[in-house]
Amino acid sequence: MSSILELALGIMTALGGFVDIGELVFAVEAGAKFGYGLLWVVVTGTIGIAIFGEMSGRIAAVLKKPSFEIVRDHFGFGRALGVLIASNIVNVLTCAAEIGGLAIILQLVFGANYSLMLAAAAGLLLVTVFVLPFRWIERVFGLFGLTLLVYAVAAVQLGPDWGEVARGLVPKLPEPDMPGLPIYAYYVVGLLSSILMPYEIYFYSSGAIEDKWTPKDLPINKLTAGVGFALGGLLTMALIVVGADVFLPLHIDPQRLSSVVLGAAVPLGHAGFLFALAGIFFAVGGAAVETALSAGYNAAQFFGIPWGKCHKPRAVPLFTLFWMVAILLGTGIAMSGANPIEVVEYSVIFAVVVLPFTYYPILRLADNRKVMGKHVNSPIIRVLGWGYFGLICLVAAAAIPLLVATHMGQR
Amino acid sequence: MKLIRTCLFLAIAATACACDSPKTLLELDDIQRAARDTASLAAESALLVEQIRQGRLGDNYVWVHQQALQEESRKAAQSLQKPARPDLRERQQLAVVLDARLALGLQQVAQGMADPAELQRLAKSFNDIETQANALKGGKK
Repeated sequence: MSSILELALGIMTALGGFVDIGELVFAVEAGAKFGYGLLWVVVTGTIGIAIFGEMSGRIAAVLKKPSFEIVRDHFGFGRALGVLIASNIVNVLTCAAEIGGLAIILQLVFGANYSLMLAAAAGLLLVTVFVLPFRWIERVFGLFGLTLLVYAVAAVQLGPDWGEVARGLVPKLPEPDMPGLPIYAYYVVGLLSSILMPYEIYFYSSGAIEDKWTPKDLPINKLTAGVGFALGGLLTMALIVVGADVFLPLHIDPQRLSSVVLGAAVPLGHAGFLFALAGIFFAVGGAAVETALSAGYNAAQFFGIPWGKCHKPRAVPLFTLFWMVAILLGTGIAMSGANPIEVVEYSVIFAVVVLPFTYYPILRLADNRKVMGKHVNSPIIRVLGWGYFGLICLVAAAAIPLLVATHMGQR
Repeated sequence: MKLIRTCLFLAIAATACACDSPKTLLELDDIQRAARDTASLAAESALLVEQIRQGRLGDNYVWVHQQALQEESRKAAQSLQKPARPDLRERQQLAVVLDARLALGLQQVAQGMADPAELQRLAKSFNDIETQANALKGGKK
């Protein structure tokens, strides 16, 4: 019974923790610009994150190796240091965007000054991560993040043409009255990257070690990565449907987090409004914690320093310092006046450039029968894994030129 | 490593090409883009007013969101602050006026929350701004 409860909690946590500010912004905007036309990207990205999440969880359970130790072992100290710096720049940028998003939600609720809300958000995060054990961090943010399911209810309530929704699952070019191909490509890259964000893999594999997974936990890993991420993907699809049905007919470009809240209030009234505020608060707060902890995990794993939220902060002082610095740097960036939505767009696009360097060593190791033994990738996972790796490389090469050419999807 | 260096070089070159020079004139494309943004903001403002009328939003939300929309409206107006060719000046002025009307209307949203007649007047004004901005931007979204 307890293992079923554990599994249900794991799946709900994966679902509740799936959506962050990047998905909220890109998915609703994508729906508002291209209708259901980008739903296929969510399916593609979700399968990818489930495959690589499962692989990293399997490696952690079998070899007790977290992602960044694998990166260091594969690339060697010098090159892996470059990957560490790039990954942690993306982590801090994402953390800055999430803290900014958290402050916006606090501001929408309390109506106070943005800088004050930023300080409150940072304080809240520092205290929460310092005080709560790993499992409770996962559960508090993951389970309360489920209030974001209000967007799934909103999507159904809006009564979309389900035939059209199904057609959105097949890739096709944008219609003539929609923005052109470069902007379409920018949103494909942005959505894919926001779903495949590398911090999710760092956090997932480090979490598996924090939770002391063994090969006995591999079925739970498979179900959590498969079902949890798939349900998270459905939630992202619901955000696209809300964007398509609320904002597209009115020709609104919902570029603000507060506009995303409006998307739930229109079909569901005041209850939808309140649930959306709560859902975004926990989803964005959870992602801020994950990115800050990921920065700490990466640095500690790379330098071989003791790490883990399962230890008291005094037992792992450098790890504690790393994640605290990540939160403080993120808050500093947000305080500098940077628009969190612009920051998240940069972090999502730059993250895709880091992706191949994170995913490649994981794929190689999970594919190595000598090391993984009977837990090596199955032939289907091997083919899918390499196929996705090729796709990720393609997307990584296109990301920055598209960002520049389309002026962040605006032209 | 050679591939990484090439990618980095291309990315820097693309960034340099995309940088605006201060000597540029306002083009028709700039006006259309600003008008598109204004139309979108006016439509969202009308939607905001409609949701307030139906009592679906909190007071603090309305204050903060109208400020965010005002900020965006100011950005749209700022993008028009360049010298324009004589044949584009009339359009430029109209776009600036529409942004100013939108910002002014948004300032009144939070204060008029309890007054249905004022909200109706604002909704009409936002719809009017959207129609004019749409005409200015042309057919393409």
